[in-house]
Amino acid sequence: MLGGVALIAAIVLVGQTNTSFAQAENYPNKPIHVVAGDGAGGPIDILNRAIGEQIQAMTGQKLVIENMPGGRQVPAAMAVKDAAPDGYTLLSVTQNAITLNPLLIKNLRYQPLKDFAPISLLVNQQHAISFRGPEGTNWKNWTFKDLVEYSKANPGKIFFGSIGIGSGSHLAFEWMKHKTGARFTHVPYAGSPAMLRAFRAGEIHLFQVTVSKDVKQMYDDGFAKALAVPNKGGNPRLPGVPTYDEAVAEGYAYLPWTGWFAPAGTPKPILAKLHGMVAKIMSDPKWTERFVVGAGFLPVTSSPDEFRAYLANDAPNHKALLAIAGIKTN
Amino acid sequence: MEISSIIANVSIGLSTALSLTNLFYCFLGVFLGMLIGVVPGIGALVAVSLLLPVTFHIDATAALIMLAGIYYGSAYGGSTAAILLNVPGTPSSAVACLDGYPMAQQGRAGVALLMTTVGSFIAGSIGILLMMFFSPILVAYALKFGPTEYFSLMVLGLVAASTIASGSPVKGVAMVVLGVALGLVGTDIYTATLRYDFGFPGLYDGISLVAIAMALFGVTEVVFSVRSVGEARFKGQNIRMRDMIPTRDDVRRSVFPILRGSAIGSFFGVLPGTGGLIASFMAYAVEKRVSKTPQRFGHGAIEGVVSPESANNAADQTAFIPTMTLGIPGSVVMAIMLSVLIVHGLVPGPKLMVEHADLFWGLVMSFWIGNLILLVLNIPLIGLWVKVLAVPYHLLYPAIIMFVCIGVYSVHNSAFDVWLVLVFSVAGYFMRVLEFPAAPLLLGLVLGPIMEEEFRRAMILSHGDLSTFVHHPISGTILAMTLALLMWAIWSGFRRSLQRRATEVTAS
Repeated sequence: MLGGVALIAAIVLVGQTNTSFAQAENYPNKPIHVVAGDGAGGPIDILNRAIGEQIQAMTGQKLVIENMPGGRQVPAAMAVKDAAPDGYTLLSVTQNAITLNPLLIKNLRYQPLKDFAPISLLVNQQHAISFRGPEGTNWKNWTFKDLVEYSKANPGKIFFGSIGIGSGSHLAFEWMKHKTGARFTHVPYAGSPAMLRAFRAGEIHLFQVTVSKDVKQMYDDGFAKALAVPNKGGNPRLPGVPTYDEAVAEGYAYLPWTGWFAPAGTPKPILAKLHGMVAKIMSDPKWTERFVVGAGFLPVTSSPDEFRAYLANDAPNHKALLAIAGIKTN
Repeated sequence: MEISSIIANVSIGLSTALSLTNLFYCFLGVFLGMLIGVVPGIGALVAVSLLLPVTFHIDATAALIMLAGIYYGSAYGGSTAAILLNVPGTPSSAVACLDGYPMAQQGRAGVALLMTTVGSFIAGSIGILLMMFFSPILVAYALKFGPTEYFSLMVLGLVAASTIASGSPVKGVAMVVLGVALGLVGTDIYTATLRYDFGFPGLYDGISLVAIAMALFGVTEVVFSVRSVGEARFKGQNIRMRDMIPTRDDVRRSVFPILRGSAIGSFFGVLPGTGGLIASFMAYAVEKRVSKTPQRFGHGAIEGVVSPESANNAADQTAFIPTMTLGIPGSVVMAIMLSVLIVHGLVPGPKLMVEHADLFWGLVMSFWIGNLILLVLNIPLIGLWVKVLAVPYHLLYPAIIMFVCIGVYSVHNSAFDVWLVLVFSVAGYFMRVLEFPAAPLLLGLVLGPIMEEEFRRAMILSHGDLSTFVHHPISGTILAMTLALLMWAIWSGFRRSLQRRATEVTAS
């Protein structure tokens, strides 16, 4: 009797593995839908559309991008959570949906690592601390340390902008204040265009920004300078700019990312196949220069297992940073 | 800029814009834009989003010419449905309903459509000229508008707009307040607190403006009209070419409103984050203020149609100035334009005008060609649009409701927003029955969140010093104007009641 059950179980298991292998073999044989937690023309959207064209060239299948902007990417995540786990519905979101929302939103209706299967990281944002000092100072020669001294001597004179509480652009400065005793005042904005306007107008002196071409131009023109970059090894677009470790203090561990997820239960061979395709696309320097680096991103990929491990670390890092910033978490 | 370099730039621009490919994309863009503008609920954003992937493969200039054409083309079309059906094609055409629809009811739809088309063309041209000659100056002045200035400007806006509604002033003010209150819904950016979201992710970013506009203007109108089905309605099918020709009085009344509307629109277009909707409301409020016969407004005053429509067309043109010269997009559609530039490896900024003169000037010249195409395209179409009125209710209204649902859904791909339309349509119906005007509510909803955000930002920057609003010269001036406006309104109200009492005394 017991043997019978085991036999049936074995047959079922083998059968499942066989079908999932067979599925992966033919996969994809119809268009793949990617729900992007971003509006058309936004950074995640452009990235996915560009990846989609490469995937179509490889497999002949289209990537259909469905934009679900706003709502802290919750609508996007909810749309994929209950989709069939067959690899034909994917989710493309940032750390906000996966790492920050569970910490900040009460009664969140999804559990990131239970409801979703990580496929691959796609990119990291290439940030830099942009700085333009108050009128009448020789800020062009300042280092980060000089700025900290100035802010201590003139409390309430240095303002930093962010695109919202708990965003990378906010946490970076709270961490710096915590580490150095700098007296920076926070001014939140509804989005990066509004923040950029404020910076251009001299309303704020500091902001953390993705180094896209127009921001790079601002440094080259001498309108602003880059004080520090968060990435270990520096930002390849800004050689000579010190990292946070060098300029501020050691231990900043926030690296905004964008990744791909599938509904939990999607067969592993399909996840692996998707990751393989992404890794291949991201290794083409000519393509990444136009669609990734130009937009201020760094191509990074990781296998589904590596990505899962990375995410397990991401949450405690964020929680610590939120605590430093004095933000209440769940 | 010297005359010779302007001529050189214009000729570069014209030669680029007039190339067969670019001309084709320009025509395609404005034609699509116009159609999309006419259809209620579906705005430029949807079309621009859908066509975005195409732009990876075509030349950057052609891509921008096409997307831009959709954008300003939709502003031309937006007023058509507003005038004919009392259903705005886009939220920024909501104001055109106020006097455009009464004009249509008086059998003057053709005149209204013709004058708005001409007004839009003039306003667009003024916006383009400003972009050609004054981009750097306008950008410098736009940057002078910080939180204090935005806040004061929005206060002026609210005070000026309290007169928009033609019924009871108390009800108008109540609706403004309700609009501001509805604007509270969503994430507070200063604390990340979710306000009045009731657990719906669809409310995290606030109530969708398109959903409210379409519910209160579009669906409400449809439902309300069902009550009067069977009653005699104005005859749309009898419009002849002759009925389109404006009288000398119409033209005389429209000249200055078009120019004032263009000026107001150009001003708001340059300020990121404001734009066509606010501009059109302000233009309407100004016309009503300067008019010697304000009582005509709301009953088919042509000034109340041409001025706001001129304003939103001018705003659509000047909105390109901060986007192209600073890389600061004022709206979502502008952000998409910017991403097209960046995907093609182009950097927005002052250097774009010099290093990619063919692109910048080609785009500017294409605006003008596009506006010309729209003018030529629109006039013969007026006869056709007016025929829409002849379509029986039982076919027309379900179609409107369907387009509204599709349009509202498409903005965020959100079914929740469609439910919002339902809820606000019910509210809108009762508002209409009780004669509470919808326009002030829409304005409150737009201005309220900007006011709150900028007020709190100004307080952070001034460390809580309220006098910052007076000490900043631009802000102080705007507040003084607001005060003057308020005093004048009170005084004229007082004088009117005195006069009324005087007549009553003589009568008795």
